[in-house]
Amino acid sequence: MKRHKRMRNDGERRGQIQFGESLMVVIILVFIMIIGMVFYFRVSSGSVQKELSYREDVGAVTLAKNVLALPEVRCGRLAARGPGCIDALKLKALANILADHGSDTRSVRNYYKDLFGRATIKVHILDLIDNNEEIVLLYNQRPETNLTESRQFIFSTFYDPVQGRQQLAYLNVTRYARRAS
Amino acid sequence: MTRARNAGREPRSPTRRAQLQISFHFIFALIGGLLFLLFFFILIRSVVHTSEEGDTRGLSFKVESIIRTAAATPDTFTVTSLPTRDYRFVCEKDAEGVFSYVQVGQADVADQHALDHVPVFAPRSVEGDELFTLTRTWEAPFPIGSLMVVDNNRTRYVIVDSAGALVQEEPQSFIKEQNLAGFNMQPFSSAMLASYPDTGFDRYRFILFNGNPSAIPVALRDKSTALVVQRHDKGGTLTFYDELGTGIPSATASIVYYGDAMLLAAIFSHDTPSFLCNRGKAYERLDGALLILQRRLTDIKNQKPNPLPAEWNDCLKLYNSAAGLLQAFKGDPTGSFATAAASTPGGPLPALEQVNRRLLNKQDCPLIY
Amino acid sequence: MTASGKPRSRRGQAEMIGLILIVVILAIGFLLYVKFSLDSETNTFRAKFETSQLGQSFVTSLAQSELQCGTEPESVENVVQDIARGETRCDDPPSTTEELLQEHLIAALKATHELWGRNYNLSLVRGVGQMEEPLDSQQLPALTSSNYVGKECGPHVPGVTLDYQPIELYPNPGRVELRLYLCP
Repeated sequence: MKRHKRMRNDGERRGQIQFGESLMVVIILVFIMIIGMVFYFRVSSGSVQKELSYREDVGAVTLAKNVLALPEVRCGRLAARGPGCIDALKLKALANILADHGSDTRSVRNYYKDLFGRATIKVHILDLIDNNEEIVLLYNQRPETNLTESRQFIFSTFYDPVQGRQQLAYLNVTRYARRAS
Repeated sequence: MTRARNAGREPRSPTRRAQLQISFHFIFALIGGLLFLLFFFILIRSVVHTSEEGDTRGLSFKVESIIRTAAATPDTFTVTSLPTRDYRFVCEKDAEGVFSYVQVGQADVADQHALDHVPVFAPRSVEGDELFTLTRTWEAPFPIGSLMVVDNNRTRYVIVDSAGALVQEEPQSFIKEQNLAGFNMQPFSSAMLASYPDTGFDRYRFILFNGNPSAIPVALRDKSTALVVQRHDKGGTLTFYDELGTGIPSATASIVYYGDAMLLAAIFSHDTPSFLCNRGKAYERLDGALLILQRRLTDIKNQKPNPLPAEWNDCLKLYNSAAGLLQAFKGDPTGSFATAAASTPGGPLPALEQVNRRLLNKQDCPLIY
Repeated sequence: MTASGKPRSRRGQAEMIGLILIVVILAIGFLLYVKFSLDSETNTFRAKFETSQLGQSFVTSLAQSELQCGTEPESVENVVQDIARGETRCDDPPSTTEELLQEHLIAALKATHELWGRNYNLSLVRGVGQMEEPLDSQQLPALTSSNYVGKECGPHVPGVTLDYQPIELYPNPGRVELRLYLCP
């Protein structure tokens, strides 16, 4: 009787232990999976941030190239000043329009505001003879909140049709990201 | 004592309780396994769904970036391989203004204003795994901005000549241009148009120079559109046939155009509203360009070149003439340029071009543009 | 019971758990590897683009920029063509045409790459491949950054980018290249 009872208890205990083992296996597996997934999603969100950052960089690069390619500021073909040439008078005219507050230029200003977005665009004109640098602020829509910046430089020449001089220049384009740093 | 009592008896079968325990054990294992699988199924489904959404958003961004970057490199033909999808080029206008974007498949659109300032002339929808893009500077007559045309190899463009020797060369010279070689353009004689065969393309676009779209075979009309072009110097008239029907096709709209780039844009716009919407973006650009030229001209007159050219007084007269032309017109879609250009190709621009050419002959005077 | 005395079912379970664990760990490891290898591609995009844009746009624009040639301004391109043909119309005694050009190039670099602390090497090279030689090694030596003495930039430096602007010597045959190496 006692032995039978002991054998029965042993059987139950063994069954319970086996049951417990299986349960532990399942719990541990789920636990490892959850840790793995958490880690995976954390890495994913990190890579999403990197993806956004990459997109912002592409945006800054595109903006720099597009500014240089704007027909509104490029030297006329008939002037034959070579590729990547900015007409000084066109650039300064556009800069004046964008800095204007008059109602007659509002639609034009809105157009460029939509085109350029949140950015600052400066043109640095290098007078290598007199060792001078003139900076023309073409456009400035810097947000007040502290956002991340993406900056691009690209060289061009700057031709003044009145003075007849073509100088080395570069565009300094800073694009502001929509997210906080 | 117990041993003696139990001797001779048969061995006991597992107890009912033990049996139940074993059953529960298996049931529990089964339930646990199912929960496990369910958990994974939900996880994989959400990851795949997120990944697909991310892919589609990434695609939309990629296509928009390609278009915006290509706009900065004029006269360039590019072929971009993309995942096989349906790419919809949307340009519409509501009370607040224009909204223009690329929609990939049925996915939500992240930015409905992504292409608001980029004139993109394309069929409403381009299906496939490739996008062909060509950028052309709209010179009217000075460079105003880039116009982009988009399509792929599933559309056939049939350039139909007109009866009469004088205009027969026109379609040939038009499509000989190297940059257009990538698009499926085929010259065709108007005399044979009625028997034009279906060669398996998704779409056909018939460009008729002074021709009649009635000759387009009825069998092709449900997947065809037509554009009749009447050229006069640098401009002309475009008549759109967005729906051909089965009888005599009726025109959707007749529009005056100026500049070869605008003609190309009309060829690749398979419907009138899309063409007008995108042309509006180009006109908006022209508004800014005219204002810049006005101010530039004022600066030239005030600053005066040093040394002063011998023919400065003659140049000054030409500058004043140009200033008058520029002052009279505003280029926005509802402005006076659009109104003037609606009846006369180019509005004041041909006259401005003449003034600039006269300045070119003066040699030392800065040009208007 | 097995020979070692452990119950068979328990041993089998343990083996199965072990296998599953290995598979899970390998899968996570592979996932991380794929993630990081993809990320590194996007990270270098901006760096590569920025350097190549700067380099190419610099040499193209520099070639078009003008320096004083007598009383008239003349582009670097035209001056280089003059030097290659042996012409001296830009001479401004005591400065030779070559010296004026060199001054212009130095001034351009000083206002840009030198100021930004970049490691560069700018030179004018005539000919192609094995036939190439400096345009004038005496008066137009290669210009390198003063911030990297002893670590000069050149084609042998790992990660270097090369951009050049060809200047044709038409109607004479051959060409000169305005070459810019930018080192990381």
